[in-house]
Amino acid sequence: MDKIKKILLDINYSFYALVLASFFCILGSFIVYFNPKLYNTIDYKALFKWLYYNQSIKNFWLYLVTIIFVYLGISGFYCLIYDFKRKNIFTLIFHLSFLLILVAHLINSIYFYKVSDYIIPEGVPKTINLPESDKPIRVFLDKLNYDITNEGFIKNLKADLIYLEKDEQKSGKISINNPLKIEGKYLILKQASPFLRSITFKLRSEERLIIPVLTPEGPFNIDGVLFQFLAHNEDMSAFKVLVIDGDKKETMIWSLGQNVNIKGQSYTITQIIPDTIGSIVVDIVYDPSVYLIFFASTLFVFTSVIRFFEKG
Amino acid sequence: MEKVFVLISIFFVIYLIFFKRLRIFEILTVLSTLILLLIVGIRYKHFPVVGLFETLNFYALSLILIYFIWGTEDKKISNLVYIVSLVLYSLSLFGKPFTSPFVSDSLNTLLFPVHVAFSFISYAFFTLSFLYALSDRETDRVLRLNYLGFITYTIGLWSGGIWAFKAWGVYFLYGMKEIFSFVIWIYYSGIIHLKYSNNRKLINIATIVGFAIVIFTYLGIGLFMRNTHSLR
Repeated sequence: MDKIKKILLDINYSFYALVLASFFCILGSFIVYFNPKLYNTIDYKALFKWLYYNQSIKNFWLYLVTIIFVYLGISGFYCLIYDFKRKNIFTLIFHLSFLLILVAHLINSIYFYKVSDYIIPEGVPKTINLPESDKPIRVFLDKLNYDITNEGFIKNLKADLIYLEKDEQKSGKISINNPLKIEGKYLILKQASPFLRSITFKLRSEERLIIPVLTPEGPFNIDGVLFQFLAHNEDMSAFKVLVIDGDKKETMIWSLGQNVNIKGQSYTITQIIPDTIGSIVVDIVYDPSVYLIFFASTLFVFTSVIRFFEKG
Repeated sequence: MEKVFVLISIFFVIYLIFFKRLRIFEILTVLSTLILLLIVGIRYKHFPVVGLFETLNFYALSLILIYFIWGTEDKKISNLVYIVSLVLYSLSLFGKPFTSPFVSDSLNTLLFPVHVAFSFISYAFFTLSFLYALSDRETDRVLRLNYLGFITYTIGLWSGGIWAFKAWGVYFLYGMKEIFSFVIWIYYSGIIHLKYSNNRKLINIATIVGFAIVIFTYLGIGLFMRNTHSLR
């Protein structure tokens, strides 16, 4: 027992453990870099869950680094007792904050998740379903504020949201670098983008074909022919539309000047009028470790500075 | 226009290495880099530590200033400091100031200057400790500089973590740059424990290896690999 205790308190062992962890992390970073397919979901799941669902020999470094940090955690705990006995207050807090960082990261590695790229259109109630059987987030984009620079870039993006928390209606603001916490989850604003509400295809001077996009309860029906919007290109000059005429289903790309055949009659698209509204794109993050990790790391920074002035 | 200031710094540094160490030239080197960064900051409306050009100049400036404060009047070390600065200034000539009219909203936070400034200040500390280790001089100073580098690096990492959480929802990403940044932190946390080992050779070797990791993280990954902190 004394021998184990001696090893755990030995500075050289701690140094070599940290060097070994560094070595495996360096190796791991190259494995991550050259295997993007395997690791493309690692930033979206808790580490241990990710390891469970992505079993691969290439993940050996993650297991080894975890084992080394378990050793460092135990060693740090023994150092803590040693510091306490010797009344080294700042060194004690220094080691304690390191242990708290490890505990926080352990919590993160068990519970964290992130879901990406949810579009919330302006003025439309949106329910966002979450993984891990978590309660969905119900949110409504009330107002979108932004400035356009001379070069045409969006700046100072801010959004006013109305959301339900514990069945109570609340309001909050979200902007870049300022997430909004709803029911313990963080809504992270990524960008604003125009969102297509409907497209009007002008076929002849008086005939218009309006295809709704935002609330596609089902295909849009004109004279027995069903039209359903599928996708559009970036500048909204071409649209993929599913046309269902009786048993006949056809996916068509509609763009300006194109001839469209409806019920045997040919029409030319003379104008495309997309009706867009504002929307925001958000990520949703659940990370119960975040307060602890920032508290512990702040403590770590302070005690390292104090130790410098204390010991020189 | 900005490159003129770099050329002025290069002129002073060459003089300091190959001719005479004049205090006035040391001060003028610092001043020309300071003015350069100030001009870039005002002209392009951002904290001037974005991209290869600005970071290399900031790095060189930090190294010289840290040498003024924590270095010794040792000719060999001063020459090494100015040779490294010369390399940094010369490399910066391959880059240009960040002039894009679009500066992301995410850079509009106090955490950005704190994160980058402290990261490069720590790099400067690690560089100076590397130069002392390389010359096998003043082990105590090597350890002290490593510790100061570790503190400033921790502040850089801490602010980067908070910023990453606010902007991306995560304080750590499994990317090449982020993993290497974590490696620097744990590696130097190992080195600062060597204070109690009294093994001069081990301290020097560990410091030299540490510097290699720092430089690879900054220039190797920044220039040649896909990452979230690209210098290209």
